[in-house]
Amino acid sequence: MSAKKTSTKSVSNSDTSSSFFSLKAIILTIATIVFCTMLVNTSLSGWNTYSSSYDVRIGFYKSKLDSLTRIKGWHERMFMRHVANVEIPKYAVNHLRPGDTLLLPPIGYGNKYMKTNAVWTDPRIFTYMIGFQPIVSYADVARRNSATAFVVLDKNQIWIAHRGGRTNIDSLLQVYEQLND
Amino acid sequence: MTSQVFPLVLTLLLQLISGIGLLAATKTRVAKSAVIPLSLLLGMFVHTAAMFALQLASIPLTLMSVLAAGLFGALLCNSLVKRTGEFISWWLKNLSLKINMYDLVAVGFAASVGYIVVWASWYWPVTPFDAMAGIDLVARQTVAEGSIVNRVFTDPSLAGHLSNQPFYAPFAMLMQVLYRLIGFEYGQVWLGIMSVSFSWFMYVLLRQYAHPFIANILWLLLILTPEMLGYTYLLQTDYLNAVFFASGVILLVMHLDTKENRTLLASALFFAAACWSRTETIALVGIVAVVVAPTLLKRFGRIETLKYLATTMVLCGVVFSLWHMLFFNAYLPVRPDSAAELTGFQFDRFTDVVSSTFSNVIFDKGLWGASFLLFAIVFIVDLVRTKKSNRTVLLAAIGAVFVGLILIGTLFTSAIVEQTLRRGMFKIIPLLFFYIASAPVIVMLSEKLKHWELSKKT
Repeated sequence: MSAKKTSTKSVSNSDTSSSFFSLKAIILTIATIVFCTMLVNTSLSGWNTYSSSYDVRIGFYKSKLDSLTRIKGWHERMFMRHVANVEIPKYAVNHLRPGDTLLLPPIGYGNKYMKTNAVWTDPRIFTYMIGFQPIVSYADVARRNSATAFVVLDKNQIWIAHRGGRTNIDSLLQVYEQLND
Repeated sequence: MTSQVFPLVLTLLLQLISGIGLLAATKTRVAKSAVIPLSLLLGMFVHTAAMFALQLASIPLTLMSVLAAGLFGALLCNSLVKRTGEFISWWLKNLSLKINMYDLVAVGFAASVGYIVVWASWYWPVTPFDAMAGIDLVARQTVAEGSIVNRVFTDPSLAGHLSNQPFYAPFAMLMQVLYRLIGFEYGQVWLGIMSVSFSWFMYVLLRQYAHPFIANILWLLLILTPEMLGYTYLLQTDYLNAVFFASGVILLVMHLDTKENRTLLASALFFAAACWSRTETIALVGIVAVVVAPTLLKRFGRIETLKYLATTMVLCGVVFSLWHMLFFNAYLPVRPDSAAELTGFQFDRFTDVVSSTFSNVIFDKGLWGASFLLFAIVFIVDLVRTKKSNRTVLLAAIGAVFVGLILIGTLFTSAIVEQTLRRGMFKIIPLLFFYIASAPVIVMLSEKLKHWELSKKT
């Protein structure tokens, strides 16, 4: 199968045989350097969005490469990225009693106490962070009653509550329900 | 880290050999410097397909078995030994490197970006919600159990919560399995490698049409396109889907452009890979096939056009059916309820989707930088100058993707303009830059720049 005609002219690199060190090559090199510098360094009153995007996505990592690379632990990096979304599941699982089933609160409850989106309340993310555990999602109305352990969040505090303990579970469930989107 | 080096190098070699085999088998002829990146991209597709074959044969996915699958894929792709021999001798014959001083600046700058992209894909854990709730959740359990059909689909704690995330992107899921088996804690290093390969291909492509200086500028703008840049190391399926889909369109257009390029079958393979990376892409490929058909008919005649379109759609159909029909029905214990997400065509919703796509996505320069603006300027200038465009197929493909995305946004309740369609635009961005570089006005500017560069007077 071949094209019957050539429809588009092109300027192949092999067509240009200018000298590597010619004056014109130097002019184009300087132009390229100026272009690259302006592209990533000047905001042009907000018109150049490449600059801010480069700073956040590439420039920041370039400047912190040494210090970041020194952090070698996989778990540390996981924490750096996910913060409470990995810490809360870890805490909760470490404080479960044998035979417990943990009720994951609705995301609204998590969001009330967290700066980032409380995605750990989603059973898939909880499982992703800490592996398979005896959990039940708040959205799972059919299995919700089988829960025996509950996550309680307060300002900078977290604990796992059980029925018959200090925390009134029915009140907690009411709060869950109020914050259920 | 050292324990990962040997399997990583072996994997990349096997993928490269597979890709070369496929390019040879399809008698593809592209710029010689595009052979490595295109082969690597095709090889990744082949490797994941071979891993999927292991899964279908109920062979556990282990490091040894997936490397063996890669070897099997490489052997199969090179089974037409004579063609591989011819391809390699063509490829290596008169291989030369021509580089200008200003190329070094552009390539050096892009390499520093590429380094951070690969580093970030290695360093950071998987972050996007969709990946953690879907493909990587399945991939991690696959590594533990040796099978994609694993506890994720059966555990009562996840029952009813899987949504569609684990079901639509076999390519990324299997690449995660592969790289996790190699020993990368978060997998996803392949994403950085893929980004570099695609950027390399685009570098070669743009220089084929525009003067190297102009091509370098366009290339850097493409690489640094704000919204796309982050996804070169963040595990989402949209960027890699765009890589395969855009490559398919580009190879199709290249075949039409010059007699030196023979890329039609390779284009069909890339479209199939696009469907493997996001299964709903088959709809977009179908729309593209319909809109480019008249031009192809005019250029190639009925039989050749039908051959190409049939090959493309059959390959895409096979990929789609293997995953969506065979695997879902015969292997997976649960299936996504895609039909439940489908809503009938509502005109109000359609107009909402169109208006918010323009106002919240296309006109947001924070997302795309100068991409759409440059495209619009070049398109209008060309239209005014020549009163017609000779880039019909490319423009039709861009339009088809746009219309396809709007329809997806209208018909699927789960498709959100500011997320789904925003990332869906990734497929269009490389095509915009291809259009710009190959537009008559840019070709004319390129000629003038070339004459200036080669003339004696400064």
